[in-house]
Amino acid sequence: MDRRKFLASLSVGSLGLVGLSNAWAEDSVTPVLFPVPTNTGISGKVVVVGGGMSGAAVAKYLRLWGGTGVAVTLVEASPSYTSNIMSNTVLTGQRTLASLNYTYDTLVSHYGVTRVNARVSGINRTDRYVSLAGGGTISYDRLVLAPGLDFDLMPGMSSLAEYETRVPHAWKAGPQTQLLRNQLLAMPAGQNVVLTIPKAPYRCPPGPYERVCVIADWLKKNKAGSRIIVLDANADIIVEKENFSLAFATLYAGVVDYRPGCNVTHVDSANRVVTYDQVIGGIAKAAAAQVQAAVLNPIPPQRAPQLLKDAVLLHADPLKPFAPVNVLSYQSLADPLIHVIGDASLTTQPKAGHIGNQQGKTCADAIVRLLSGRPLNTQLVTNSACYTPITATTATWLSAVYQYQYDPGTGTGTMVILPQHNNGKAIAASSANSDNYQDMQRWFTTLMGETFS
Amino acid sequence: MMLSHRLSRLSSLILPLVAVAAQALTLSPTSLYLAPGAKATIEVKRGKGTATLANTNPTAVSATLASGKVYVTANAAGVATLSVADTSGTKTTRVTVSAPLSVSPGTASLSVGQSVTVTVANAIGTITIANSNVAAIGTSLSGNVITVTGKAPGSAELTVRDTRSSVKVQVTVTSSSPPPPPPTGDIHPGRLLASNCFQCHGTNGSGGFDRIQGSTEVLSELRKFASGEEDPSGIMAAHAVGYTDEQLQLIADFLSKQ
Repeated sequence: MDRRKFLASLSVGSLGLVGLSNAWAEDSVTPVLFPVPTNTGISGKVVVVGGGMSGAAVAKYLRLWGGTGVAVTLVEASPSYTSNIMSNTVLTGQRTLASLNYTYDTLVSHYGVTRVNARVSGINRTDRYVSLAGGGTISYDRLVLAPGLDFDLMPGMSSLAEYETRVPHAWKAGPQTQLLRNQLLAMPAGQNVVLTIPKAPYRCPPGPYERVCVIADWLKKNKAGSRIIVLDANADIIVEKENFSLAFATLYAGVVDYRPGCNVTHVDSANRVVTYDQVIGGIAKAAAAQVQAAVLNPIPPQRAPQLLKDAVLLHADPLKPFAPVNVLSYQSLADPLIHVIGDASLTTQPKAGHIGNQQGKTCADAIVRLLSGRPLNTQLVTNSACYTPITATTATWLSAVYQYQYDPGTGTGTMVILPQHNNGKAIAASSANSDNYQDMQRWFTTLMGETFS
Repeated sequence: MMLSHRLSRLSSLILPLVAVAAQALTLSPTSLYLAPGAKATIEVKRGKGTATLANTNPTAVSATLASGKVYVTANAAGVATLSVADTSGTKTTRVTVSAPLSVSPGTASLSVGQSVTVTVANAIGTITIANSNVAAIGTSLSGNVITVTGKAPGSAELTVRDTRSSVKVQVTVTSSSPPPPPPTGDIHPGRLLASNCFQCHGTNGSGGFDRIQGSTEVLSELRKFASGEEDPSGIMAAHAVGYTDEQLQLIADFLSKQ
């Protein structure tokens, strides 16, 4: 990498920071806090529901770009946020869950966001308020929904509690992540892990394959003779196919048993038996096949939370259980006073934290413009970048840049990757290596600082 | 009425003959315009003998005759002639299948003195317009384009008709008072674009990976990454190549002023 050269060529310049060495800039991960302006002349009352990557970012930037006249209330049921990014390394003991914990303290103390620690139970679109589960309401001029996802039951399951006690999906970092870690530790050597992947779209496209890699790496070192059997509902690895299939075939030969085109028909969570059909290229390869797991990690299909369904914000097609939005502003197509960002929205972009942060900033910019009578910004770009550990010391990355493109024929706009960017496709690292692993740590720390501080 | 009155007077004399004359075969309607996928029914008033149905264009239209009705389903654009025949004669209904009459946009909002156009598509025959509020808007039609002009604040409904159906356009006219004064302080046109850098380079480029806040050399570096001159397989090249040069200029200008 030429980062140091790039840095050396930059003039650190103008803000009294000349005395700090280049090494400070290269090594610093302490976020710089910029002041909330008092003179924008913009005012409004915005309620943000959900304090994940996109919700925290929109709350911060509504204040940073909107100023003190924009009252921002962040409603989140959890006392703090646990990062999904890097949570696969909790499974291998490289990180603790506590190291992935981010509070809302700086959003409140520095940016002046009002924090409400409660669950939202309903949205009244007519009178423009949200209801809280514990009682009470909060009215809004504009509502931003960044609620993340709900998880479906796997076929054969009857209660979400089965994920919490027997077969953790751990696709929202937290107690299930720790449970899965504990189950892996307790598993006798020689027995098998079974992981299932839902049909896309789901949260974090490379995430399941990353999890397979880091668990396989850990099994090699800690559980001789154990394998991880992967039942993928998709016809093939959906992103970074070269890097992942190379890892499966070489690093993890004999450890990863990857089975594409697998439709799970039954999960027996008590006995950890999965039943599935496998179809490859239209040809049935297995019918009602069964695998026995010692540790079973079903990653379920995902949908926008019930709150949005109740408010009639979701697509009419039940196969697209997300909220259609205008990607210039993330305004719901059903209600222009409601914005939906992050994983719950229906766009062409991946559901992931790095781009969720960018959607938060895009939405904040749009709300500032709408509150002040300015036209929306049509020079709109979002970017997705994602570092992925392949072993305990190496990583790859995947990057895509999305540009706003308006189609006068349909009167709608979408975010597309331009042809000049790898023929309209995401670009992956050429290989997994240790430099990327170091960069991954810095990317993560900077991204979380930019979002929560 | 006249005919039946006369017939009733004559009926005692020539009943069999009159009965035949009264039962002339009729179809109603004699012409139909349908959108693909639409269904319709043609009433058959029976004449004499067993009626049979013929269809000149089964691709455009499916039709079946049952219980004194012809049940019609429009399949695809085209014209079909459906003929019902019995011993009293043959009657026909012409069925035209074409896309339904539509207007775009279906709603319009304009201020007093302003004009917008509404385009009519798939009209058959003459287009006519009914305006529910002539005080609020004026309309003129040229070909298939309606020009709507705001006259006074209020709302109006235009009903656009062709020979087979009608569609409505809702129009809202707002007062022509000037827009609110522009807000103080312009937003830099590169701010939102440059915020794509913040995930890795910190808020306003303040650090993380390289600190780029206040730098005057970001544009030359980004252009080298975008062209492949510098580290073409690295992640910065993968980002820079996704922007237009105009966007890279805006990003660099914003960062240089932070």
